[in-house]
Amino acid sequence: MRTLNLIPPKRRSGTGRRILTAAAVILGALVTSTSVLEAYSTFCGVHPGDQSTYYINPNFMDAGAGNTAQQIAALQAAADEWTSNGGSQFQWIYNGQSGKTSISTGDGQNVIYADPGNGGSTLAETWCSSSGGTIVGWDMRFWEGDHNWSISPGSGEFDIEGVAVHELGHALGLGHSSVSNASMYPSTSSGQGSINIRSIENDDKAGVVFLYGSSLGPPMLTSVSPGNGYARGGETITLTGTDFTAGMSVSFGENSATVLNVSGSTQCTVRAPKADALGAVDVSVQTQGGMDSLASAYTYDQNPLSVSFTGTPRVNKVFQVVVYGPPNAEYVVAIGQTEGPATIKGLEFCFARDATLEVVGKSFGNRPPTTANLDATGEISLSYTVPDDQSLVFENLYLQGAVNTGPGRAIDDFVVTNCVTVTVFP
Amino acid sequence: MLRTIRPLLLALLPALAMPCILAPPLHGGCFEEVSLDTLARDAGQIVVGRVRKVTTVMEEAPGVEGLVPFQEIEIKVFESWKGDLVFGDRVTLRFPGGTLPDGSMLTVSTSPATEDLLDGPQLLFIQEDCFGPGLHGLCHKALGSYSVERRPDGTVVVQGQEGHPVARTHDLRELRERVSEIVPEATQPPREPRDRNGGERK
Repeated sequence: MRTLNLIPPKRRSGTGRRILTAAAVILGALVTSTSVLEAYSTFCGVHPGDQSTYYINPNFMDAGAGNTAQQIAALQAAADEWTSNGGSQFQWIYNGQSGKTSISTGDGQNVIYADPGNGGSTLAETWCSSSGGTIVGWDMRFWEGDHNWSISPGSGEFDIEGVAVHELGHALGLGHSSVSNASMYPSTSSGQGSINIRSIENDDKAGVVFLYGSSLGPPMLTSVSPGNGYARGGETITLTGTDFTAGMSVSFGENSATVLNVSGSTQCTVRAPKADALGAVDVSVQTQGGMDSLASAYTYDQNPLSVSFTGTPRVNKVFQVVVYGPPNAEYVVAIGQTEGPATIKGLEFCFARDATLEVVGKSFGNRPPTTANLDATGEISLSYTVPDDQSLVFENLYLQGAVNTGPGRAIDDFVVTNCVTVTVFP
Repeated sequence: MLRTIRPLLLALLPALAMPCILAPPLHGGCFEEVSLDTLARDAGQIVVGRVRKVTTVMEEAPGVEGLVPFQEIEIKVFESWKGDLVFGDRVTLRFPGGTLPDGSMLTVSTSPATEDLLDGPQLLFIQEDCFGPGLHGLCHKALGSYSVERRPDGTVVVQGQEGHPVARTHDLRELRERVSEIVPEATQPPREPRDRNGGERK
């Protein structure tokens, strides 16, 4: 049985500018290991109907500001950047030219214009009226008295289009962002710095999607193949469905899978995450358009008996031993050496999962074996540090392990899964 | 099996999908980039204080049709870094924005958020008399105010904001020394802020 979850966009209203970073990081960490830094804020509300009209007074007088048509084209391009590339349902709609040269947010005509006065360090500003979290009207003025505006700015000039992208972000309801490459960052430099903000970035897009919802359709997950794999994870799994997108996330139960590839909108390959327990789990896909899941679509099977090593044993170096077997099985390990001194000093194991370490009075080679239990998925990780003792000569050090495959059985009955000989290089 | 809808995840999804963003170049812009040096030099007064009263007045403003709501913020000065204000003085700042008579809100992108100013003591870079005698504004508008916080370990810090002249968190004393290097003529003996009962903090 499959279920389809459509998630409506959550909107924030009012004039609050609470930064969302902390919530994004904390909650994001629950579902992904991707680093997150999201810092958009909200400004004055949202537009009803996910759209707003605007007028342009192309009255810039600076030499680089271009003619009427060029000024209109630059400001329209700024609006189109949000409409076309924001990934949200919001649309800017150009309504024509206006002769307005003053702020009057309640007149029903939202106008972008140049003001011949001085703004000091303020390049432009947006005045916005709202009621109950709904934007009623806005106007935007560029201070031209003490700033040089251009449609293709050089040093000392500011880009009309770039700064308009920033201000139109305010006009649609976004506040400033602390992400330095976002168009909604509070400040900019002249020349290329102001050109850079023509293109909205991920944080800007996240903000407008937050306010107005995504323009994408919800994904649908139809199959997961193969439908089973070992509890240790790592298998490559192919998902099929519709409306998949780059940047989609996939979960097996509560664990995030690594997305390897998204092929078109219908296929996605992922690496299965490690299981929390054996058995079936739901598989979920999530895009900006929504979320879908297939119930019990993937089954975690018992791990095969195996021992694997990572790293080369060297003095003062750590190498990892990972043992797979039945869930909660007892694992016994011993270390010895075939040649060299009779006594090996300073050998120690660290059990990565805080398992209880106990010494069993039975000798495997030169060392008594130690035991620990595999976890509920049938896995345990051990790390071994080769001691820094120049008096020792390590040759043909061997690690011998065995997994008890049944409760109540004697150690002698353990099935020896691996008898690994490693050479320690000083 | 019906899964629980997790609406917050949708809002978070764009961030989950994007890499950690750390590096310049700086983008953005209501404001031209302003350095701390410029901010300190341009300010007529630099104080640490706390908002004591907020009122809204309706007045005309240049380039704006009709009456505009202005927030008037009365600040009690704890500490003066530049200018002639002293401990205990009251200074009134003004900036456009606020509630209109019909209950609607006017918000201006370059004004500080009033709720931020109410959140404890502030370091304020003040532009004098910009709205008339005794009616000051923030120097470089929203770039001129920063929250001051006392941490559990007793240190007092100024919370900077990305894209502002004070972009990082600074120890208050260290920042004061930095400002005094920029504007050496602006020296006032430091005073400890009073607690809510008017007593000196120890």
